[in-house]
Amino acid sequence: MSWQAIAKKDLQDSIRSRTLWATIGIFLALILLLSWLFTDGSGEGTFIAAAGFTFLIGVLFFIPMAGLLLSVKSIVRERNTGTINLLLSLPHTRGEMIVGKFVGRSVVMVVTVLAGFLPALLYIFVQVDEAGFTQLLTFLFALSVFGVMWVGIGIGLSALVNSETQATITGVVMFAVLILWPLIFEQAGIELPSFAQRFWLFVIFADLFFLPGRIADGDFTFPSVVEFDEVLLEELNDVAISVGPHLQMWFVVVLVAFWIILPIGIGYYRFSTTDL
Amino acid sequence: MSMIETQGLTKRYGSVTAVENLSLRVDEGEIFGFLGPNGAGKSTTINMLLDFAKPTSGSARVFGMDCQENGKQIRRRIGVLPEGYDVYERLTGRQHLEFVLESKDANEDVNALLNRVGIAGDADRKAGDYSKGMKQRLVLAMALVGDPDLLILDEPTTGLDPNGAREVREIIQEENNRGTTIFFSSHILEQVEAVCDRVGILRDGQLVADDSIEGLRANVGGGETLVVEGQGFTDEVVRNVEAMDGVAGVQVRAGGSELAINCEEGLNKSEVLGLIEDAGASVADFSTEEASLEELFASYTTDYGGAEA
Repeated sequence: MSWQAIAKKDLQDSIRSRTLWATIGIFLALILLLSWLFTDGSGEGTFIAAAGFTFLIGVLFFIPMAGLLLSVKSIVRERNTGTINLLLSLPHTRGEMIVGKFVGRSVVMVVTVLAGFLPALLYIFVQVDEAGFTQLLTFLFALSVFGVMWVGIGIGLSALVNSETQATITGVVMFAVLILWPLIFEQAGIELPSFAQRFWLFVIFADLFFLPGRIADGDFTFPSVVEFDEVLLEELNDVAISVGPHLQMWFVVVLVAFWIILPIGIGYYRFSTTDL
Repeated sequence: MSMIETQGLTKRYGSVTAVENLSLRVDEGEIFGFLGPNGAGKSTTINMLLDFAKPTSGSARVFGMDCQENGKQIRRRIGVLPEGYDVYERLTGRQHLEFVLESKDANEDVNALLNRVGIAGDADRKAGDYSKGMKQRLVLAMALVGDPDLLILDEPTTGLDPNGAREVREIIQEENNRGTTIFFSSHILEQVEAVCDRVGILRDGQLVADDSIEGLRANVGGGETLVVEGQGFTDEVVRNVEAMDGVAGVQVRAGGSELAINCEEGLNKSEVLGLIEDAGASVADFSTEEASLEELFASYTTDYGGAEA
């Protein structure tokens, strides 16, 4: 299989990259520092509270940055250096190249996330009183999927642009836009419908984090976190609320797919018709 | 059967025409030399065969299949040494070949391949540390994987010393002896002369010649020069010789003691000499000069060479 050969090659190449090891190192150091700051050794609080604060910054910045860093140059760099001429004179299509790159870099991303967060998570795990092993796992799961989404966005951009400089610039712009857009709407006084808010990557992250618990409870129609106010109201009034499928928590799976397929699709559309 | 066939193949970049109305055919078992100065459009043509670039108009087919629609199937059966490539700096030579083997579903001995191109000793070094020549050898080994039906080699001798270039030509010859068709581009005629059955010369994106080396020589009219030394080369002698079949031109040189006759190769020399003596001149000695390949090439690729006929 073509994409597998490419993914494997890409992995072999990536693990020898100093950038990767530097990223993991910085990750690890910062997140350990943050966990230490937020747990203050008192042993009070819950795992979610401690981890939540610690990882707010991690989730907000480190993962998107690492995801983009690992992916946004992956295709355009091959075009710049000319290694792509070797790759595409083999029986691979450009689509297979994109898929192979996406898979390869996603594996790298997941390894980076695990290597960067696991020590900190374990530290918090032993520091706070109310820590559940399932929560630890769902946290890692949500972080990984979140990272893979950013890799998808980066790969799509990399297929779209013509130079490494363009890749860097569009990467920075996308980073800012994807993080800030709901805040910009809010500041402008425009109220977004709940469904639109669900496309925000951090809402997706929150839904991903809560989803495994809901599935474990067998509650498949539970609403997304964007409906959190309604959920509180429901608990207050003891009235069951029901929302359409697009506002239910499980729908996050579709949104994750959207954020991976859309950028890669746009990138592929351009990359498949362009001259190298 | 035609291995490569282009019809009216044209590629424009904005207002620049890189390849214009190129119709070319390479048959099974041939070694085809694709010649032209740098910038003539050789690599653009090859890039269209590999689907790296899309033609503006016209068609390119390999093994009878369209290069844009069936690129993957085509590339399963070809080996390529592309232009402007770079190796994966962090991967070793061995890893490069393993990637190709996996990509082509081939099962060959990596060491044997590396040995064949003479870099077996550096198999486990990072390819980023290779010299230009070693990279070239590595990519040639990658092209040989899977016993391809067609080898497309874009300037394969670039970066190699004369000895390395000779080794590459030997490999090309060996592959051809096993039935592989070879499409070999170069900007140096000497590189293709030794191995090619047929040569196409590209100039400013247009094919200006498509023939064997011998045919090219004959076409230019400088195929061979017969130099006769002696005395009494009168106008009558010149006229009589010029009138012969296979003679393109006659000049008196060296203050009247030499007659230079441009002629086709294989012209009956004793007949020429007899004619000269019959016309009253005396012949002391004679020799033949071949048009140098450099002159031949220049005549096709520059305006002042006089090959426009």
